[in-house]
Amino acid sequence: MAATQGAPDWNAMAEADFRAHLRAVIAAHCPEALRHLPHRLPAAQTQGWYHALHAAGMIAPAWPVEWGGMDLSPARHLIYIEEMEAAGTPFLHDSGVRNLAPALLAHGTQAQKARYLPPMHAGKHIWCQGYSEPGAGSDLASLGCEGRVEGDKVIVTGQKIWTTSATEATHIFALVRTDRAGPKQHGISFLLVDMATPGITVRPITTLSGQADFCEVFFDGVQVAMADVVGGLHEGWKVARSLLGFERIWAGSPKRAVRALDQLGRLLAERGLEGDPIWADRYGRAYCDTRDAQDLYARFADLVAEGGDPGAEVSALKIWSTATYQTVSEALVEAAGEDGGLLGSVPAGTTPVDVLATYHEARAPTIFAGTNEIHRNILARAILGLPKAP
Amino acid sequence: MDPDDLRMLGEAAARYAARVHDPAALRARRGIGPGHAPEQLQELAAQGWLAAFVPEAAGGLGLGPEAAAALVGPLAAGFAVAPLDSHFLACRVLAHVGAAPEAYAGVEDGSSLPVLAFQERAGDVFAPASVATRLGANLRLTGAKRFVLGHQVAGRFLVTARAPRGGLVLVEVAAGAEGLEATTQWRADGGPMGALGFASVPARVVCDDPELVAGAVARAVDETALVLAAETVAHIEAMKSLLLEHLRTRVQFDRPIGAFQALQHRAVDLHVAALVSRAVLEPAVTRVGAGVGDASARALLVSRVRARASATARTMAREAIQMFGAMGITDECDLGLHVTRVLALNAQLGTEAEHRRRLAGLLADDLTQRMTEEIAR
Repeated sequence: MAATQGAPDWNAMAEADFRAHLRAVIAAHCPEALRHLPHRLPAAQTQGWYHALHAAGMIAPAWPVEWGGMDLSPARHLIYIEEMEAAGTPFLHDSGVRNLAPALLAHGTQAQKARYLPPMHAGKHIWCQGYSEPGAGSDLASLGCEGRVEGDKVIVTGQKIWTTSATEATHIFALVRTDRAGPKQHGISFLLVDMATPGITVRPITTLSGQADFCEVFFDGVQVAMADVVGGLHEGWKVARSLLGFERIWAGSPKRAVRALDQLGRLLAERGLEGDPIWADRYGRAYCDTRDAQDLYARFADLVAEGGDPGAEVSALKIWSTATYQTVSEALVEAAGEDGGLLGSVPAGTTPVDVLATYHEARAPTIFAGTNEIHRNILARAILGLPKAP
Repeated sequence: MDPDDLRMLGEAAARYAARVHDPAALRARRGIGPGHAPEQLQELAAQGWLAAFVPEAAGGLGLGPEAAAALVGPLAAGFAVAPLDSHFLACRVLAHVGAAPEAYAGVEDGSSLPVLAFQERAGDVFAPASVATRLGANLRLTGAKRFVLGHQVAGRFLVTARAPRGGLVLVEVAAGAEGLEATTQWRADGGPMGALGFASVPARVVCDDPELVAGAVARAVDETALVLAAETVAHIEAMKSLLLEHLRTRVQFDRPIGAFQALQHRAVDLHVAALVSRAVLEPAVTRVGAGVGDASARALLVSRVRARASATARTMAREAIQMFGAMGITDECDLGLHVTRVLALNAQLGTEAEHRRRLAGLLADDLTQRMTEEIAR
């Protein structure tokens, strides 16, 4: 178990001291070359920063202290995110820490926690998420990857897709179909699987941006011990839904749009277009959409900081922020003129901008964490109280 | 301002709006009268909302944009804002030029309200340099003003003019002064909009410092534009509520039309836009109320808020009418009261396009400056 002796009470610290501490750790251990990158780097390139955060006791902001976490209040957790985003610290391979751990802490057995949380915390286990399937995207509950129960084992055969960083991962947490009777949300089980288990094949998927972060994961008679089922057999749907309120606002963070707006401003000034009437207006619109997204984010952040639950309404933030990112990224490509059709970077003040990279990166957020159309369905029913669609 | 005080102001305004809301009376007074119920002025005075914006030194409460926005949002639900909008604008100009307490005579009981007249043509809200009305050496005013809000309740007009040497001055003209001709045009919602002609009208100088006058008008216009945005957001939300009620209850093809996903997603996009408008408005009111930032920062913020509110109101009106179908274009449908009010509001103190132009100019200057600084480094 991770050492907890001597860990400071992060919530009791003065806010200014807390921020200063975060900034000092970032300044000392996060190299400039890793800052403000649009995409996730291979784990090997970010592990130095990961281990520095771990050594400082700051890798798991939401975890309880007994497991080596910071146990931050929602308000403090948001400050943590704010400082990391402001410094442009890189995306980590921390799906285990961010996505799996809340489910394990809420639904896992003591043995599961003891076995999986410490190596996850230390970065020895890298986790990926096996939820989507070719036939189960937005309609996730219709997933069909088979988990056949045989004695004290679940034998998994089927396929997962859109699994981020499966090539980097040592473990996968996956939803499989263990029972086909009853409503489709029933009969799903939540499994913890070692990627080295015989029968698992990973195939990377190259995206339009040239990245191969996405993967398909194939299971062929993969044996998983019953002890690695979380939350009970057939009860996996509720386990998968145990993310906390303040973690759900993450998908609506305006930070990507803010970065693209900064790129757009620098590119326009570089090209002497900032005073051009067409571009001044277009930049003004991009500016408004982005700053408005920040105001909307602040509204939700204030709510969770006060201990409130934004509920289904937070879908509005996801829709607005991700759509804004796309709009700004498209303006960025056009602002580059003919250079916008060429691969590579264009000069833009202090730092060159790869406009096509930003364009491609902006396609995914409207799709991941629930497509924006699914979020519209949620808002229509849960917030607007409209009747069920036929 | 203390959040509890603001909440209490808002609750009092909501109670008042609920009491006076009368769609039939509202329709009946379109195109005639001062743009509000006959007893409105006495009611506002009795509530203390006229004296609220008078500086403490002049016997008032010295409240600003936060209080005005807190009042106007709920009052909008009862279409009971006028003439608080024009009154707030005039009081802020007087406060910003540091007018003497006598300038507020008759405000508390509503017997003589000051009304600002500063525009001369469409599109000159942010262009004080274009003022052509002249103050002669004999202190007589000659020229014309347009878009004078609240002119029918004015006890006196505060008028921007050119002094004999060309500098901007603020003068006061009695409403009944000889040579003053007031005419009325009717706004989209049937309320009055004044135009004033000055043929050698006797005037009294309130402030003769050109920079102070220009700065005071600009600041008061920004503050009032923000208050208009608060009213606009209230109408956005009111239209949304009417629309959702319609989507839940109007049955076609054997089901409520709100069950169709095509309409659900449009309704959600309107909801998101409404939510954004409010999220943008509220911190801006707090910031501007606290006087944060210089004139450019304030202008940038106010224009962003106003552009969002105006655009959202226009979209909400269009979409709500469409989803109401033919009912939406009838005068007996209450949706239209909000649509026409929003049309009137959107044209006042800067259209969306004018706010976007001002904002774009400020941002372009900022980008140029940042680039210059980078090159210097």
